[in-house]
Order: sequence, then structure tokens, then C-alpha cells
Amino acid sequence: MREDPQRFLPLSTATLHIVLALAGEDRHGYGIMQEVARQSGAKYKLGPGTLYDNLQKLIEQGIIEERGQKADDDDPRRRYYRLSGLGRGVLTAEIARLEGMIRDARFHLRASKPRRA
Amino acid sequence: MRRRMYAFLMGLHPRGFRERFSGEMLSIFDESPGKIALLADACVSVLRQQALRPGDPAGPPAGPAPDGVPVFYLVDDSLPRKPVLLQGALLSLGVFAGVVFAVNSAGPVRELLIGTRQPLPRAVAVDRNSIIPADPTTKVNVAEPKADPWREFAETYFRIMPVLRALDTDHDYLISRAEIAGAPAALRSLDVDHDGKLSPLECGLFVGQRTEAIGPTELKAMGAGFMYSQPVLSALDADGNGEISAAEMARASASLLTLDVSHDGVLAPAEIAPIDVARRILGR
Repeated sequence: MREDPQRFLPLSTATLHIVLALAGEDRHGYGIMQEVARQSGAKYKLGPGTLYDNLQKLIEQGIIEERGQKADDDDPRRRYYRLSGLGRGVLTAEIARLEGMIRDARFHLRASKPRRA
Repeated sequence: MRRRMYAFLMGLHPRGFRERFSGEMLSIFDESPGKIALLADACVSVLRQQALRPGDPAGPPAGPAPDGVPVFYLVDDSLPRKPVLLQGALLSLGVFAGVVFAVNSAGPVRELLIGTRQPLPRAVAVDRNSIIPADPTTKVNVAEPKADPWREFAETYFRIMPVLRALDTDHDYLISRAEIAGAPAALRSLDVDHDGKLSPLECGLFVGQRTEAIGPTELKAMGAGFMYSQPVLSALDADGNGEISAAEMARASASLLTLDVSHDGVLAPAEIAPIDVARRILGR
């Protein structure tokens, strides 16, 4: 039975950044941290404690999958993570939700914009 | 040193989390700058994992022994989880801190709690350390008995009034029944000039060295005033002529009883005191 992506919405800020970081390619933990910092212009910094707390939860929910080591010459302690099919569905649903919010926000801002006399 | 601290913090995480992610977290620590921030992040992570996340699953329940009889039974199939124990410890610490604060703070709560630092005034007086040797002699200050103003008045009044001194044969500053009954004889003993009557001078009028200078008219007026102002003499001088005649001395007992307002047959100082003295003593 397929999971409904809507069940996981809305995503928290940390979860959204992690899922986004893994949307393009598989990454290890430090790579996810660097990608999150890049995406947010270094305004949102993810610590290892928060990262792995969220990774544990996302793996249990099936949104993220663990891939193990990628290359032989890599640090053996590193593990790589990737977005699962469910994860892609959740990210798509979250983006749709955010787009709707942005649409609404733009509409209300336009409506409340003061008109020139 | 910092890496050891970080590794130690990794060891404080729940077993499942530690085994799965501590290696990766250490690799990140090795690669990343800002070690202090990573240490702070690890501290927060320990608290979060221990307090908020489910702990490690309990081990398998005790199975049957090889002979089919279980070694022991567990009422519950799981042990208390670490987060629950941590929350209980924090709650206990908070309650303990609250009680300590209540004991040490002023107010009525302190009186209700056992172990207050300062003893109540109404409890056993603790004003010295029992460990320090002290003089076992206890000095008890007993308040002196309140002076009786009537007694003080009587001691002076009876001394300056010959009539009262003669009447009070037992010197207790009270004119008793027997002394009232013997009043005529006592008064006659004061008649030093043996004229059969008592003049104001014989009754105690004091004029000092002016006796020769004072004329008979003035002396008579002073005597009349003196006899009138002293209740005992006034009662004895029934006709108010300024002297106590032989007949008045004979009726002295009855005359004195007119002063006994308490009707107890005894004349107390309060019953024979001049009115101004009585008012002063009574504060009126």
C-alpha cells in the first residue's frame, strides 16, 4: 500500500532543507550540511545533531533511504543518503503547498496595496 | 581534547542512535571548522535524544529455561525508558529546589515546613550554642513586688500623727476592732498637760519654733483647720470646736466607727487618709 505524501505535510524547515539537498543527488551528512548552507545563503545552518535526528526520522518514515558507501577511497565512516520515491512525492506535494501559499500571499499583497490618488 | 569531549558526548546518546550515526558525526567533527559550535550542538542533541526520543527497545523477555520453567516473570514487559527516567529526575530536582526556596524565604510558609533555619520565637529559645561550655547557673530575674501606695502613705502618716500612733498599738497601720475599743484610753494617754482634753498641738499640729510668736487667736484658727482637715481628728472632734474634749474621748470608739465605710470593723489607711492624699493615690 502506497503512503500518501500529504500525510507528512507540512515539512519542518530542517526537513525541507534536507529533502531539497538530496533532491539533486545523493549526499553524505557533511555534504547535506554544506548544501543546506549554500541553498540558504548561509542563513540556515544545520548542526550534525539536528541533521541526524531528522535523518533518523525520515529514514523510519521511508522518505529517505540509506545507500552506504559510494567510493572505495571515501572516508569509511561516511554513509550516503538519497531521496526515495515517497520522498520525491512528499517534496512535490510540499512544493505545491508552498506555491499555493505564495499565490495567496501575492494575491493578498496586491489587494492590500494602496492605490495612488 | 575537544574531539575527546565530542566522542564522550556521542557516547551519551541512546544506543541505537549512537551505533547508527556517531561515526558519521565524528567524521563531520573532524572535517568541520567551528568545533565549539559542534560541541554545543552535540550537547543539545544528547538532551533531545534522551528526553524526547523513544529509547532503546528492551531486551527480549525472559524465556523459559531449558527445563520449561521460566526463571522469573516480569509484570511489565519493558523496563522504564531513559527519557522517562530523565524527565522524572528533572521534575524531582525542580520540586526539591522549590521546597528549598520555600524553606529559606520569609513568610508564613516557613512556619509550616519542617527544618526551618530560624526557630520560632515561641519555640524553645535558642540564643546560645549548646556545644560551647557555659555556666550552668541560671539567673532568674524576679520582678520586685509592686509597692503599695497606701502602705507608703500609712508609714509616714502614722509617724506624724500622735493620735494614730497611740491608737495603733500593734503598729500594723490598721486600727483594729480591739484598738477602736481601746481608743478612749489611748487618747487619754496623749493628754500631756492633764487638762482632760486634747488640743491640736497634742493631736499633732506642728507650728515649729513659731509657737511663742503665734497669738492665741491665730493658733486657734490653725488648730481648727488642722482638726477639720484630718478625718480621724474631725471624727473625734464631734462638735468641731478644734479640740477633743473628755466626753468626745469617751465616745471615741463610736466616732471612729463612722469612718469605717467598708463596715469591716477595721480602719484601713484608705479610710483615714485626708481627701487630697486619697485623690492623689487613687489617681483621680
